[in-house]
Amino acid sequence: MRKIVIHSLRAEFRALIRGLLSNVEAFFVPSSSREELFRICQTSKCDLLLTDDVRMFMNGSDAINRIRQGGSLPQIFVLSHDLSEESVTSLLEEGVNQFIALPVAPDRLCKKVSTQYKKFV
Amino acid sequence: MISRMDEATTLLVALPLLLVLIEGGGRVYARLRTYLMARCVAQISNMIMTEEEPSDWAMRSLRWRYSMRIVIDSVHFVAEKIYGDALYRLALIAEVCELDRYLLEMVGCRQSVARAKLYSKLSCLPYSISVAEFAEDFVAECERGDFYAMAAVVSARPERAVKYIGRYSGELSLHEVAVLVMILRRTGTAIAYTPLLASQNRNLQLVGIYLCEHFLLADAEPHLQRLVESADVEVSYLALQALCSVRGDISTPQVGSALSNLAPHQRNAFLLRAVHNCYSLRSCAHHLTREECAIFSQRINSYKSRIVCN
Amino acid sequence: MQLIFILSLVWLVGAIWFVSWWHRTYRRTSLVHLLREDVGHIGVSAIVAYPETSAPLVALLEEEYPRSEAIFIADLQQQESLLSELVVRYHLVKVNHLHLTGARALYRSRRRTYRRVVVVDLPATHSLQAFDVGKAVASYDNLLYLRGESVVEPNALAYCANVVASQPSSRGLQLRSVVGADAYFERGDVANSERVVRLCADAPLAWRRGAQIFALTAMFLPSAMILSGHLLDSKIMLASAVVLIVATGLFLYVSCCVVTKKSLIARLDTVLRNFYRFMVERIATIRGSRIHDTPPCLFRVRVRNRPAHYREDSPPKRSHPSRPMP
Repeated sequence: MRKIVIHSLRAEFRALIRGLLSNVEAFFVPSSSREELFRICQTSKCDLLLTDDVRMFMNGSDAINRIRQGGSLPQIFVLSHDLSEESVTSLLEEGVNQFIALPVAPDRLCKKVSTQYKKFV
Repeated sequence: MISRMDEATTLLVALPLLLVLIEGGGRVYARLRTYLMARCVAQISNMIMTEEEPSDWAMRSLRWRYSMRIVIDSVHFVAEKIYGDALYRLALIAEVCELDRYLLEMVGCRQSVARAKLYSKLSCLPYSISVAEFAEDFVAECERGDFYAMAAVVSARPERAVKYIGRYSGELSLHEVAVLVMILRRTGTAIAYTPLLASQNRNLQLVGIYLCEHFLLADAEPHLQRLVESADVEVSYLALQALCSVRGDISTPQVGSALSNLAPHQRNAFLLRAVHNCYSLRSCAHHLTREECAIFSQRINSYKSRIVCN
Repeated sequence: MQLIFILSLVWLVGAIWFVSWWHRTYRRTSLVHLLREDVGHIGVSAIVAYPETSAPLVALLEEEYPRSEAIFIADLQQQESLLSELVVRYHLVKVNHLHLTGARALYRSRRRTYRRVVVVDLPATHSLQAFDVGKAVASYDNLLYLRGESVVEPNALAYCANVVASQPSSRGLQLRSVVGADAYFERGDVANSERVVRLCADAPLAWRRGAQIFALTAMFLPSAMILSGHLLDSKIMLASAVVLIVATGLFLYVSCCVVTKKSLIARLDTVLRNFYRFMVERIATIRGSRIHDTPPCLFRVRVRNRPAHYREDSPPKRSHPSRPMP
């Protein structure tokens, strides 16, 4: 069964995404801190990472490499209100796979998560 | 003497301990609140995603399990993050839980800053039908210059936003304009910017300028050039900034006359924005003093790397 | 003893007045709705002067507010390990710096992700010009000054931008943090502005709110001790209170001369310094003189467009009778 990690520093956001994806068949793992996220990705293989922690990729912590170490190569989807071209381009340059603008339509999010993650890693 | 010393020592020790206890209690409450809000959000999002409409009992159970403030904040949190058909389901939950009715009752009991905060919460709820029914009552408050009441009304009846903003008696600040535009975006309301820019009403002009800057509407340049000459310094300044953002022509005489009316720090802010938007010095050198030209070219050069050839 | 009693009363009254002003201004600035996105394209440049580690820079890059930048000023010749860490981490490259008086080098990032990072190598002997250099490099007109290891709270820059947007752009603006080691925010040329709005900012500028408890304790404790000592006729308590006041005053004087400060003591010092400044300016206002050409309503900010019934003394108005839901 596919493993989806939901990472956010806010418990409400994790709860919201988990609720919106309740119709998706997957094993969900919540992550409340960055160290926990890196540990999860290092110890087990994840298929998809959903996160709103944009700054994790832009503060020089080399988060992408730490997420993708240990044989885990998850698709990374970032959700954010920030629609500026520079932010989007920066994230895609860092290696984020998809950028989902908030607010999001729940059915489209479900469809995206169900179908997109199976693409090339 | 000894008993007084004991009392004094007790007082000496008790006061900081009391403060530490209060602080600790506050933190525990904050953690508990976060936990409860996460649970409430999870229940709300489950209700939204079910195929069938949830029963009234299930929706009202939110009020029994959680405090009203938590339910309101959770609904607001979810409303910020979703759009589309799910928003109607959320509005139904808000209506069945009587959130807007609760807030309306509280508004009558509060005053000053607390009242403004309640209006602010009201404006964040999705499609408040009760507020729409009372909309005309609020308009009187809008005309007295209550911004947050107006924001609540615009949220309830976004299709009449232009009318309410036009009737608002106060002067909107940039932050208030941003809040209104955020509400309109959340409700998915389409507003034409040309009539706003052509309007004689200051507040509508500000909203139009903000829309142009936010969505980088280059077509609005002729209107912005006209607004740059406005007698209102604030409108003129913001039109100038918007012109810069949409990369309009800043070599025009209108821009020159507007710059001459600005305060020194506003001129400096304009310079910095022009550099940030990749204008060359030649585009506005004739509007600037020699010192400003030097600052402009130094700022541009500070983005470049010096190549040293040996 | 009578004099000490009167002084302690003045201290206590002043402390209560200070806290009530702070609370009132906090309530008014808390009305500013926190929008984390770009507000009117207002940009904020945060200038960090002479920190010992890269922690303040990392905290600034954690900010969600998109239109911001972090200017890191340090004597990198004496901190070579810090320089190499920054260069590797943020892919820095040297750029033109000749227009910066006294600076040895100016670095920007090659990567778009770190476009908000600017590093200036300025010798420690030029520390007094650090903020002027930062101002010369800044891309935005709104500046947040931080000294030493000041770490901003989350959303501090978004908070500053929102407060700036709620004020008219023609005025200079200064946000002061009540609790925070050398953190203040200004827009425009505040020193030469005809009218300056000075607002009290809450904890979001720097440090944690919990530190305020210790600082408030330091303010209330001596006065409480003196009062209770006088009432209970305890000489030991009176003596301890006097020692505490003298020690605080000495420390305040010493700390003003020190550039970098540490944690809790730094916070305590800043609160007390703001408190002393508040008391002096109140007294000067009562005597009719003005300080720094500021208007008498130095710390009061009128809520914009506040209608008549928002005044504190007017009775609440019930205008919305509840109607049955359909």
